[in-house]
Amino acid sequence: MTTALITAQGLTKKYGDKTAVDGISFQIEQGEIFGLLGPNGAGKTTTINMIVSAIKPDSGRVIVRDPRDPDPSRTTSGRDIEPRATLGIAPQALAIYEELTGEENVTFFARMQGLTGDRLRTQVDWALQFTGLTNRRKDRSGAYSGGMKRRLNLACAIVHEPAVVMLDEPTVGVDPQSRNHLLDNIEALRNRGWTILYTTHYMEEAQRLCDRVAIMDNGKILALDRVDALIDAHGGRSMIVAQIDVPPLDASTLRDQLVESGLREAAVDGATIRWETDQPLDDITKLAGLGLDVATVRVDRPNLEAVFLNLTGRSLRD
Amino acid sequence: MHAAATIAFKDLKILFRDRAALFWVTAMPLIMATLFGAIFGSETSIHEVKVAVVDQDRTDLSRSFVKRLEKSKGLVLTRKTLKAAKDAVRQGKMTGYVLIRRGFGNVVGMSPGNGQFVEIGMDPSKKAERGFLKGMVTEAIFKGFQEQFAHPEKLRRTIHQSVEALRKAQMNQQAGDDRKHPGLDQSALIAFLDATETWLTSADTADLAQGMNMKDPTVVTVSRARGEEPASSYEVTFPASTIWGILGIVAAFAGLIVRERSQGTLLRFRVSPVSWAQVAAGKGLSAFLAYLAMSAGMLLLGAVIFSIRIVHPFRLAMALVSSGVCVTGLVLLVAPMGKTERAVSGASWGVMMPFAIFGGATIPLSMMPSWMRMASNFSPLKWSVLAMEGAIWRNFSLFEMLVPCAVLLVFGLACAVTGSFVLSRQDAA
Repeated sequence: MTTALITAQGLTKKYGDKTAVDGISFQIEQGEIFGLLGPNGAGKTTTINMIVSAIKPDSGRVIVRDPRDPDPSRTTSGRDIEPRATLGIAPQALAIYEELTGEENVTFFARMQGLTGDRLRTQVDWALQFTGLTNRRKDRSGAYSGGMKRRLNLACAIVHEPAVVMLDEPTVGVDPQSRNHLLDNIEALRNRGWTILYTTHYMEEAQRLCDRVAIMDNGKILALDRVDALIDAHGGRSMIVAQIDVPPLDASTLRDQLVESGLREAAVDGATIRWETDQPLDDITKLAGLGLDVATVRVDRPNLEAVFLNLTGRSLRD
Repeated sequence: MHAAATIAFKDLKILFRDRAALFWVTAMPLIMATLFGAIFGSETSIHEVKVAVVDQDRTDLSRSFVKRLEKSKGLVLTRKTLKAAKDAVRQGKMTGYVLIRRGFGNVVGMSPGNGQFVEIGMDPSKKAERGFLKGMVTEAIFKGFQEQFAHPEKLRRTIHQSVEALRKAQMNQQAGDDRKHPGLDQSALIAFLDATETWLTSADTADLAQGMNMKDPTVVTVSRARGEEPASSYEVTFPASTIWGILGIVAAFAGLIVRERSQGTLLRFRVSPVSWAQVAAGKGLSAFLAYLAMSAGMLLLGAVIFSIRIVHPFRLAMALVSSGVCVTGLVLLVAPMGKTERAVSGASWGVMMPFAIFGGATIPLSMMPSWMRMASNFSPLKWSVLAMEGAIWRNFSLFEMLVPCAVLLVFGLACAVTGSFVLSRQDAA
C-alpha cells in the first residue's frame, strides 16, 4: 500500500504532433517538497493540470490519497469531487479577482473549499497574516504590487490548509525582495510539515526548497532524486579556484610543485590556479602545504544547473 | 447551492465595481427608455404630416377649402409658391403639397374634371402618408360641398357656372375642337344640374345641409377592457429598453466566465469540492439576479418618475422571471463562443444585436412593418418585451401570459443546457 499522497503513473499528453508530457511517473510523499525543475515548455504546468484534472491525460493516471481519510487505502482518480479538498493550487497565472479586496479574494476561495463561520474567519486571518497582507487586506487586489499579488495567489491556495499544495512558478515576474519573502513563506510551510509540489525553472529555488527534484525537459523526466544525490550523480566535480598574492616567476616550476603534491589537474593562469576535484577539502589541504601566498580560495560545488547541463547539453536559461 | 450562491454574489460584486459594465447594464437602458419615451410622447410628434399648400385660385371657395385643411388633425400646413413647395418636398422638408389650381372656385363638387383643380404632390417614400393626405383633401372637398347647401344662392350660382362650362365644352366639340374634354357627352348631367338649380330656388336647403352633416366615426383604443390604454409612451418604451440592459448583462457575464478560465481561477475550482454543474449554476444565478435587479429597478423608476402603472404585479413577476431564465441561457450560450474576453464580447454583440433590433430595441413592436414583425418571432427578446407589455398595458389574461413566458423558459433552458455542455467539454479538453 502506497504512502504517497499523489502518484502519477505513465502520464502522457499530446497536442497534435507535439508531445507535451511523455509518459512520466513520480510519487509525492507526505511532508516533502517535491520539485519539478525544467525550462519553459518542459511540461511542468501540463503535469500539474493533469493532476488536478483540468486536462485529461491521453494515457496514464493520477491517484490522490487524502492523508486525513480514516480509510488510508481509499484513493481516487479522475474528476471525483471529494479528494479535491485535499489539494490547493497557486497557478502560474495570477488567479485572483482584481476587483475584489485581498480579504474578499481569500474569503471567496475559502468558501469554495467549504469553510464557514468561525473557521472561515480564522483561516482567512491566518492566510493573510502568513503572507504578510494583513495591513492591505481591505484594499482592492488590483492595486497590489506584483509581489503582493503573488503572495495573495499563495494565500488563496493555502487558506483551507490542503494536504498538498501545488505551486506553479510562484515567483515569476516578482522583484527579488518579494521573491525572498515568498520563498521564506514556503520554507515556513515546509517546517510545518506541509506537502508541496513546486515547479520552477530557477535552479536556486529548487535547490533551496526541495527535498526531491525531478528534472524535466521536453516532456520527460530525465532524473529524479534527492538534490544532493542528483548533484553527486550528474553534477560533475567541484571546481577549486585559488588566487595567489605573488605570481611565481616560473609558472612551470609551480606546475611541477602542484603535480608533485597530487594536484595533477591544476592549471595555472597567471595568479590563478584552477582545477576540478571530487575531494575539495583534501585538495585545499594539499595546496596549503605548498607554502604559497594564497589570497583566496573558492570552491564551486556543482548545482542543479550543472546537472541539467550535463543531462541535456543545454542551460536551464536557454 | 451554497457554492452557486457564493459564485453568484462574487460575480455581482465584480459587476458592481466595473463601472463600464455597470453603465451598459443600468444607465444605458434608462437613457434609451427616457429618450424614446420623450420622442414618442411629445406633442409635436412624428405623426404630424407637414404639407405645403399652394392656392392659385384665390377665391372664397379655395380659401375656405384651405381653412378646412388647416383644421384637419395631423396636418401642419404652410403656404408656399408652387416652386417652393415642390422644392420642399424634393428636399424632404415637407411630406407633400396640395395645389389648388385656378378655376377651383368655379367648379366645385359637380363639374367634370373636378379632380384636376386639386393636385397632391407626394414624397414617394411616404406611402402611408399619401393615403392619409388624400383622405384629408377629399374630406375637405366634401365638407365644402356640404356647406354649400347652407347657402342656396351661392350653390345655385356655382351650379349655373358648372352648367355653362359644360355647355361650352359641348359646343367646342361640336365645332371640331381637338382639345380633349373629359366627360363631354354629359347631356344627362346637364339636365340634372338644370333640374337641381330649379329645385334650389324653392327647396328648404337648411334641413338638407343638416341631414348631410355626417358625424366623424368614433375612434377607440383596442384593449381587453374598454377604456384602458397606455398611460404614457413610457409604458411602451421602458419594457423595450430593458433590451439594452440585457445586451450589457450578456456581454459582461459571458466575459466573466471566459476570464475565469484565462486567468486561472477556474483551475482553483478544480481543486475545490465544487462540481461543474454548481459553477454553471452560480454563473447563471448571477446573470439572473442582475437581470431581475436591472429590469425591476427600471420599471420601479418608471413607475415613480413617469407614472408607469404596474397593474398586475404577479403577471409582471412572471414576465421578469421568464425573461431572467432566457437571459441566463443566453449568457451560457455565448460564453463558449470565444477563448478570450475580447472574442466573447464581440460574439456577444454579434449574436445579441439582431435579437435586440428584431426584439423592439430600436423600432417598437407596434411600428414594425409586417415582415419585420414576422421575423421578430424568432427573437427571444421580443417575447420578453411582449410579456412585460402584456402585464403593464396590454392587459393580458393569465392564459395569454403563458405563451410569451413559455417561449422564454423553453428558449432559456435550451440555451443554458447547450452552453453548459459546450463549456464543460471545453474545460475537459
